[in-house]
Amino acid sequence: MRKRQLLILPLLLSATLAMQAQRVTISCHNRAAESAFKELMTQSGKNFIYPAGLLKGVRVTVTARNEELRTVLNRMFSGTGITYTIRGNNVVLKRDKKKASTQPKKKTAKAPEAPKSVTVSGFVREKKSGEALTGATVHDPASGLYTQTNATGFYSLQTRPGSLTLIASYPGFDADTVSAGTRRNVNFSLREGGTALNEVVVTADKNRSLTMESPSIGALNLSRADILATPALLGESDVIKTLQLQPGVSAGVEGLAGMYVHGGNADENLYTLDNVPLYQVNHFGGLFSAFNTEAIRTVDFYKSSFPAKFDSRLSSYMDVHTRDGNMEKFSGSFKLGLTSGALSLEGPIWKGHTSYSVAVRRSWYDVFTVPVLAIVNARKETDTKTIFRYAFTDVNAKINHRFSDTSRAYVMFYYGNDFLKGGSEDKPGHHNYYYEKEVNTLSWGNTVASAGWQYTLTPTLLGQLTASYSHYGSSMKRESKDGDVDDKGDFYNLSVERLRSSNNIDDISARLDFDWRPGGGNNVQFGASYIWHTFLPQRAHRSLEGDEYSAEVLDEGRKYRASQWDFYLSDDWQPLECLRLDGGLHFSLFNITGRTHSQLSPRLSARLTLGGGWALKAGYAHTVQYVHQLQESSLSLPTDRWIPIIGDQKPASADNFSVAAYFDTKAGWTFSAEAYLKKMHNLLEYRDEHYLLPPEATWDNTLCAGRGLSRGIDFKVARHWGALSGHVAYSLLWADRTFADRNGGKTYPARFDNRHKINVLLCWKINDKWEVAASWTGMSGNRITLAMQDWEDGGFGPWNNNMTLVEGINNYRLPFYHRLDLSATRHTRHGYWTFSLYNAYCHINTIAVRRDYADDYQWVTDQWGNQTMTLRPVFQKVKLIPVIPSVSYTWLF
Amino acid sequence: MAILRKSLYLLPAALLLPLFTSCYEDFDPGIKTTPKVCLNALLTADSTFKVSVTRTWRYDSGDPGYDFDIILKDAHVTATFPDGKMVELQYAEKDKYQPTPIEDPKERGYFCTRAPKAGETVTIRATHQQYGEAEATVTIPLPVEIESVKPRLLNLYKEETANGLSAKFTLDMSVVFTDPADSVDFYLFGLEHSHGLSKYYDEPDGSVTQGYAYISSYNENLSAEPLFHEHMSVLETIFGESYGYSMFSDRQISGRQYGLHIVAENTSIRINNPKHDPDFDNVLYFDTQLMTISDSYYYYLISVWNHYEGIGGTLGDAGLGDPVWEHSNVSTGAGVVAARNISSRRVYLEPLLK
Repeated sequence: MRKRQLLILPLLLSATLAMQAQRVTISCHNRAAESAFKELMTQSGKNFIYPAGLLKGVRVTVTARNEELRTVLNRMFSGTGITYTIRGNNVVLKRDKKKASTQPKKKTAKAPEAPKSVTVSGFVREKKSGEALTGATVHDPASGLYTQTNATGFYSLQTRPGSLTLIASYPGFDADTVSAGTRRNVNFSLREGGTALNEVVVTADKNRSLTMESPSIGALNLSRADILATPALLGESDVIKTLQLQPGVSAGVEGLAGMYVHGGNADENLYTLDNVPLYQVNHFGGLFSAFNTEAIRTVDFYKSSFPAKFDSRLSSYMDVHTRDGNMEKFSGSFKLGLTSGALSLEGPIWKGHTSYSVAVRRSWYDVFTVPVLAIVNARKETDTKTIFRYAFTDVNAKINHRFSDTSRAYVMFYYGNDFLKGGSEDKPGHHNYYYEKEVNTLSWGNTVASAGWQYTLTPTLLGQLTASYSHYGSSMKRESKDGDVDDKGDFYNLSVERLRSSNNIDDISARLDFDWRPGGGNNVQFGASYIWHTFLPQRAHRSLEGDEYSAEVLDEGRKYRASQWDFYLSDDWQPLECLRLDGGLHFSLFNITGRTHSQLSPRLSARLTLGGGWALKAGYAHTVQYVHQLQESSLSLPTDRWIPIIGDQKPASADNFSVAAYFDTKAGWTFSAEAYLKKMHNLLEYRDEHYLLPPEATWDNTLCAGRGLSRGIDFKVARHWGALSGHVAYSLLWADRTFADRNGGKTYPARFDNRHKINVLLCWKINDKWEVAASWTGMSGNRITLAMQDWEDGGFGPWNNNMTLVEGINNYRLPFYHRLDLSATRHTRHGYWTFSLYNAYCHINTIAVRRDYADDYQWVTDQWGNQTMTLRPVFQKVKLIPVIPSVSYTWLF
Repeated sequence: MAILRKSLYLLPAALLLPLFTSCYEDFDPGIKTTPKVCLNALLTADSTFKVSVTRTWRYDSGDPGYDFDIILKDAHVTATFPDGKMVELQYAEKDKYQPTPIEDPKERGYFCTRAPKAGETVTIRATHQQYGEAEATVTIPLPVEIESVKPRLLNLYKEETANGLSAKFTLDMSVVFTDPADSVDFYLFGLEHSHGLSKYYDEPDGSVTQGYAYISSYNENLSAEPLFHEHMSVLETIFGESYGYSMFSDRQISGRQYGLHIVAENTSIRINNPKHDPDFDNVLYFDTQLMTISDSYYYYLISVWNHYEGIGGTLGDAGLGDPVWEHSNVSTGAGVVAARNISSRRVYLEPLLK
């Protein structure tokens, strides 16, 4: 170890020297120190952190022109009794101890040896609501040591003993300074604000520290405000649509909440809601995701290097933390948009101890369609009643109880469901001799119930126990009746056909997670989980009843039960100021149909901070996946079944290699370049001509295993500066697949092999009333399979059509896709209006290509001399979404 | 109220309109294609057969037969039989029996004079100087006999006259057969009706009296037999259509006796036999056909159904999913060389009406 440190030391030295070489220009005479620092902050992009009162009455005089920051600071503090240290992007100010040590010391009796260090722990929460703040910084200005909170708001800081004063800060919030004295449990409550330079200001974006400080590559933290600030289709902010603006994340088909990360498939993303995995995260057609923004507190997203805690998916992890509820006072909001309404309520049940949070979102199409159809169906001239209803619902509910400063528990419930019903029924009396009724019903969604208990076992160790039950289900029903009606209106010759199909997953799980901060720059996370899965990939039942006959078919509806064990251990260790390592292991066991699959998933990522705002990172992550969703299309259809691996199928796995470089400028810009190589093994896809096999009973035979390869690089330039923030991102991607039983065994490009993708996002808070945002997306088109040739039908089937000849999967790339979205938010006394324009310059993008016929008829003469009017066969671009204006109002109370 | 109604119609439409204002633009995808040789043939046990040799064409290049000719008349076509004998097939154009006005009046293709036997495997190969070669192999299936047909008439409405009758009914049949064990078998069911008879009688007074018997209409309801739906998922049953497709496999009936449930709804017949001519006896009938078919034929039918009726085909054609293409057992991926063996039973209607 010593040897390694010796090797690193020269590097660190050079890095430190380079880091201090930032240059600033300033001229001030007897100016308040706070004001001078504000100017330096603007130029250097650094945060100035100092205890309250330190700068009170301090005035500085300095003139510098393009001089090093350190030189300027030396001159400013000369004779003030204040010293400083530069740590990463922070400039930490404190009283000069040398000066203090020059004071004569009183002789005292030899006291017992004091401990070398003490550990202070606690939580950082929002003052207004009591919600935990993830990624907040807790800092001891005396020692210069600092740490960050985890997703539960927990921190643990090992620092020097003595009478402590700690400062907690979080972007967008006023810092909170607590004189801890000898207390070892210190909680912070931060007040929203943080726009003025007062005691301590942290202006940096939380993701900037994630980028520059953390060893993670491609990690992102989103708050509810971040999601709300992103312009979205129909004004419905959505976490997945926000993530689609990130480099390396493809959106799939326009308008849908699809997510394809680094060339992976849609089912390779793990979505967890308060530690519970969800299977179905899209409402009808994927237009909206199942995550109601009103219920979200914060979201962690990982796309390159993954914490050891997560496994079970190959490409990305999205960890959604819901709101705990306001411990202090009742509050709520009601939002009405063009497609849905949302009501959110939260407040204390027992002030300071117990809170609740309820968020309900529901589409309201049926509010119009039901009465409209009632009127239409009531018209005498119509012979047939039309039956139609569609609705989606999300309910998030949570009760949170704080037993003490170290113990907290919650129960959480989530229900998300889509319901689509359509059909028709002949009106009695209109068809005297014939009657027909057909009703089709589709329903799908998730139900989750979970409970968790969080306990601070020691000041350095936080434990969390979670138990949950989740149900995913999709079902389709059809009932059709037809028969004759006699003069009295009685039915005869009645034939009734009933069909029912379902796909379910039931999970019962328990997990234990620990966050241990033993000091020495270590943050150890470990835990274990068990999931009892019950999969029902497909059950179909059909029956036909007539007056004198009946038939019934029940296709195989075998349930597969599986046990999944997961264990993980990781250590995020910072041995040196410039070096941070995060290594871990995830071990999983999956037992199904008497077979046990085991996988060891190592994780390693490292960050090396160089001088001048540079940081380098490298990472490796092995991931594994035991369940798959069979997608027949890029739409999110209820037919897309979730299935486990069975029989000879092997778990899918991926090896993710990534390297990254980051540059953080003094002017507040952050540049990043993240390159990755992802090798995927044992991917499952439908084999060529899988549709030739019967749809039920042999579903596993319709699949084949293969491999995938993705490589690319994500560039991003972000700036978070006062009222203006945003980013420009560019992704370069190659993604392909090779399956022995697909495309004749030849390698083919993945469907969302979007070679180039550019995203520009700008958010500007003009004043307290107005905020505007603009987002531009441009990317290489998705790939589709286009059958270019036809062959003559032999005429052996019931109809005579031309047959298609497919010569290569995903052989055509759709035209370049681009659009601009704009939004403006107007804050009022009781809430805010959101106005948005989706596809502002109305470039209607191509989402597909179809084979059809031209609109105009032409006369043609056949080889036998016959003349016929015919339509010419043509390839047509299918363009879907024009400019869509929308408005919503959110009432806050 | 009228305004309110209008608003109620218009508001949801206005809300939904932006999402469904899809538009289309003709374009050239710019992908180069090379035509390939396509073979089509349906071999029936104990019958001579014809091989159609054509070439593939680019979809947007036009309609074959109008814009260009895809028939390859100068190919070298052979059929190889299990005894090692190779028969060279010659191109010919024969008059078609009763072609429709819009139909090619000629039957064109390469005709084979040797009839394959049940169980024989035949390989057909075509070579063309410009488009290359294509080859396919097919085995003629063994026959599976229809053991019995149990017909009954439901919902019978009958009106008898002095010279005959008119009737409307639902013909409900159970077509019984036994699937052979130890083999994978594919079937296609067919129902055909007789053309009836029409006769004119010269009367002594110089007038003419007409006698006739015919089946005027019927609706073959294939939904009554679950085996005809085994290739459809529930969602496809909801949104798709099975009309016209009556192929099935022995997946659910392997080695067992089974009765296919066949329903011919709203069957109407008319008989007028003023001279009590015995020629009119039993001229009205249905022929039930149980065909054992080659796997290439079965998969071809399944793929055609999937393409034109299934959800996968619909989404694939729209560019929203992987495409569904028609199954081909020809080396070039174009064409089907299929085979069948037909077992038939006749159901006379008159005895049922008595």
